[in-house]
Amino acid sequence: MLRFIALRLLGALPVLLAVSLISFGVIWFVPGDPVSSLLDASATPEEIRQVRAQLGLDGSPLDQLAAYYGRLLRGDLGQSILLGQPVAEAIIERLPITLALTVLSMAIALSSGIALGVVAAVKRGSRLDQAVMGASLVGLSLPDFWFGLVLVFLFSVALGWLPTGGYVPLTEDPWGWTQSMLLPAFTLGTSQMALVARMTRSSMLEVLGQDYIRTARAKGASPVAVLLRHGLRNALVPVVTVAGLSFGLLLSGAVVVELVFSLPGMGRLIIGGVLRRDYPVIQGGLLFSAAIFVLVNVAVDILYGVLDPKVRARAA
Amino acid sequence: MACSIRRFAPVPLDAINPRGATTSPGAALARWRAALAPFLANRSVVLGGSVFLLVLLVALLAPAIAPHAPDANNFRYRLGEPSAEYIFGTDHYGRDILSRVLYGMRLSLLVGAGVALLSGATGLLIGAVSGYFDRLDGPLMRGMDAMMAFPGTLLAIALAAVLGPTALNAAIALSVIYTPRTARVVRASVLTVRRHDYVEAARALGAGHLRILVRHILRNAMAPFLVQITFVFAVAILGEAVLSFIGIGPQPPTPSLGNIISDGRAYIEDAPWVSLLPGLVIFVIVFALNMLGDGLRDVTDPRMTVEPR
Amino acid sequence: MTRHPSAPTHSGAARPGDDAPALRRRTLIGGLAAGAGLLAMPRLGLGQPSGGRLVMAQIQQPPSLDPGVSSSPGSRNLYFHVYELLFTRDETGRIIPELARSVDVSPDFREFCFRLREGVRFHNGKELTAADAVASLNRYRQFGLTTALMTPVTAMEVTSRYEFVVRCEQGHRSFLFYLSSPRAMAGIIPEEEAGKPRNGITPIGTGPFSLAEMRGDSHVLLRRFADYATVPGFEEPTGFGGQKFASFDQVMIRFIAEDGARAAGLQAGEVHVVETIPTTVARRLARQARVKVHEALPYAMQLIRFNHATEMGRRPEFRRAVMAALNCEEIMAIAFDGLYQLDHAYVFPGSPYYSDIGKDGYNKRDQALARRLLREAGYDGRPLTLIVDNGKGNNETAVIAAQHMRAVGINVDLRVADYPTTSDANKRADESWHFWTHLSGSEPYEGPLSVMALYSGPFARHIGRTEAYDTIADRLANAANDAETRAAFEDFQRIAYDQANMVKLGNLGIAQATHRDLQGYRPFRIPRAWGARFS
Repeated sequence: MLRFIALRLLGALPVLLAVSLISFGVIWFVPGDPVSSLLDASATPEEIRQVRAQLGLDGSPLDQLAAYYGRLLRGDLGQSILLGQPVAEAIIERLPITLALTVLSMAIALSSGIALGVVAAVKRGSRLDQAVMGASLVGLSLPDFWFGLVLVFLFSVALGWLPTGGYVPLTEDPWGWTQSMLLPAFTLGTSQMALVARMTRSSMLEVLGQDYIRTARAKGASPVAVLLRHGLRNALVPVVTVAGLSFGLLLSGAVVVELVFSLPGMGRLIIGGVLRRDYPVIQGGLLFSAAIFVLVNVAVDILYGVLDPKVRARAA
Repeated sequence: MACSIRRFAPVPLDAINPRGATTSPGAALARWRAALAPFLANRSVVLGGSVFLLVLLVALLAPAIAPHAPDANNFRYRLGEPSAEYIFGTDHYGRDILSRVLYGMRLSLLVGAGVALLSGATGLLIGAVSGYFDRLDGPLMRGMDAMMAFPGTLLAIALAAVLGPTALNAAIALSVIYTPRTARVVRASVLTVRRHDYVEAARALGAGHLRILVRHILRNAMAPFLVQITFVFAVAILGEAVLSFIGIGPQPPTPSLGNIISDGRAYIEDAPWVSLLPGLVIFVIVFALNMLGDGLRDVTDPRMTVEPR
Repeated sequence: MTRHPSAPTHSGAARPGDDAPALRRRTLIGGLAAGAGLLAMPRLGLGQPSGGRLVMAQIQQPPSLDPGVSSSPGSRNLYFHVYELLFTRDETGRIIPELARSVDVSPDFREFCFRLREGVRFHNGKELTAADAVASLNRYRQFGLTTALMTPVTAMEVTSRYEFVVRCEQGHRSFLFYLSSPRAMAGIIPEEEAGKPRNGITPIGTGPFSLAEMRGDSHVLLRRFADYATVPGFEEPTGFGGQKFASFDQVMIRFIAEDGARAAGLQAGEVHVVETIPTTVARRLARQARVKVHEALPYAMQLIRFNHATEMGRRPEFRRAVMAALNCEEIMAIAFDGLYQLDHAYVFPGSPYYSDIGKDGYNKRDQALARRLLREAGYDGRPLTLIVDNGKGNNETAVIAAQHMRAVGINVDLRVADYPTTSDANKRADESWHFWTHLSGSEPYEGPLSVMALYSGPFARHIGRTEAYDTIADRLANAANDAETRAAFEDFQRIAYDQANMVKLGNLGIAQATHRDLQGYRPFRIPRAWGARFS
């Protein structure tokens, strides 16, 4: 088992290396620079040159690459040009928000998604099944940001029940925090829920058709027990994979939802960095997101190995 | 063994007879009809497919249908409510929303198709080679893993920023994201099909790698691939909308569904119709494609068909 | 809904001949008040602070908290709440004292003797002294953006606790002009902070608010500075200075890039002041009486620049053709949601340097003339590129201007990109671009000298900076009085319309919106949290 984990982790290293290179390389090909966000239209080339020199944007690519890896090996992600703080600090500030959003929307998605998927599988072919499948298709097809805008319009502006955006820290005001997270988590959770529901349904169907289910029923076990103890546990394996992938994805920041609801999360950090050419933020942010994503994938692989002995055996 | 599972891929006769027996046009047509029958019997395929075809038709006929030119300003009637002359109202330039959406559909559909084709072709190539040639499998899949290591949206945004904000670059950026996923799907089915008897038979008869790959393996691995690119098309349309919403997709005044929503979001309360219609259209297109993909998968994936209890 | 004419300009070069007596007169008042006792001063007739928290929303996050390092509007809003200047600008752009009580200027502009106010405290309790001022100015020389401020300064010397001297070998007529410029403010910080590296300071100033918290991508929290010493001699806020009495205990400046989200926040009562809001939205909100709308017009002017390094761009006939082809009214009406002024001048109406020169060349909308001029210029129909960033206003301007140009046969290729890309693109002096549109706000507000900075100088000549304009800039910098300034600027406008090195499309306004319970708020180039209170 340990060997399996070690192998998986080792396999992630070359990927991370590639990721760090790409994160660095993006900078060189993006036109424009961070100076334009500091200065206005009447800035003279002298002023621009002075600022660029002060920001250390003058070195050759190789020098900068060396400096980049030097810092990276020390665990230093650099200093943001436009945020006035170290990139690592900026990430740490934003991670809890993204984490909270991820956990909340996954909770919504998993709880309702699995329930709906099971119901749909059990009542296969019925109206309920069709309704659930139809609804999940709708959930998958809705553009996230558009749906978010509609929700803001409905619940914040028209009804005034929830805030239009912004983030209230949990430690400051738990109720305010809940309010500020509700709509964004729901927006994200809806499309995830659709995915989970479909995944659960198809996986349940496959499991329910297996021989051991028939055997259990033949032996007189109650339908509920059959469903939950034998069916669900095995059906959840691929669902775990999907959930894990979604989790990893969301951790890197649900960009559009954060934009629409003005949440200062990872997604906005990176987008802001890209749009304003804040090079250290782009590099550090992309690397961090990708690293999280890779690690979550590894974790999912490991979890898969734990749940399914065949996977472990194959890899050994 | 009782054959309770329908298998889609009937073994093609000319796998055994490479220099195939001559077939009459009637026989060929009959074969096609037989192949298509299960598709046409599936409700999702029919519904999703026909809605999508309708969308394509409308987009194609946009220049004929659109009541106004998409870039005709009317600055005395900005953010006008839906009326007889402007069925879905006007935007802040005074341009007709309906006309812009019709033209926007063309661009968004083009981007979607472009992504599906580009990532499809590349993914097909990589997946086939990777699944068939073991020595190339390792490095190729590592490369794909590296690309998939980046969360899709972020990578697309970074790429689009690098390449510049145009429809073509948006398509390229999105293709980069979906190629690895398509490659994986193709690889998985190639790996499965590789073990079938007729492939062995063909090799025994002296067929070369390329021939085997193209004629036998890919032909039978097509099904999951087609399902995949249907979904990629759908997701690409959403992806273009996201890129435009952030501001790095095709730029106005050229309308795309995404940038019409983006233009209108400052006025979401005063003139909700500006963002509402293009959002609905995106939804319809993606919904139809998803439904079509679902149906295709239902028909072609044997695992989905389970003995009813 | 109120209309406030914003900042008709005044000052060009500093005119100590006119200003100095005024400054000295004010000194007296300030001195009396200071003598009356520090504790009594801030509350003199100003009443109790109303307390509470004011929430303001702005688009951009300040890229820096270090004064003078950034000239972006996002930073400016914050700077002026936390830091103060030696001299600042009033509502009309005139130079007024702030931290300095007075300044004595030698007739040859080589020596400036500053006398600071006494008893002014920094947010950390330390008293402001001449050493802090000199250290801050030295820091500005290193990191400050407006290089024109400190470059001619050759020496500075602290002569007593509250006095210091600035010496400029070659004379520096525009020293006070640049010292008070809001563009990249020369904020005064403690001496201990001034020695720190760029962006390495702890934000400590003398302003009415201190920085309590900054949360990236979210907000900045300011706290009322209880020991703030209001500038003597002013009964109310004016421009960037005047009496800046802070009513609120806290001010939260939230960064909300989404137009719709800002408006929604205002409606929901979560936000009390919105920096800019689409005019249509503002008008609707005002009709609903939930919100007070303030329209500030003119706020800035919209310009189109030519790339003079290109085949067509260097021909005056071509440029005149473009000028003739444009329908400014349609452009301004659409791009600025109806909040605009058709005006030809390069300063705002109400400025003492405003004139009618060039009026008949403005907004000609003469397609026949345009076509004729194109033929004279020898335009062959080749594609020409118009670059613009995707910011609201600029984008629309470019789209419609391109339409007008195409209508007379100019084959325009419109290229929209984000701001950093466009900033980069217009630096190229080659055939990669031919037209660029942008707006200019601070320059007309600050005065002719700032306006000329856009069109003169030995760098980036390809944007249309000519030697003729260099000469005029010199004349402005050396102008001894208003009449000379005026004459020079009139000549500038004459050449501008004759040579068409740039095209002015018109003046634009912005709409600021505030919560209906907010009293005493007056819109300005920055949203001002001082001087207002909740009713």
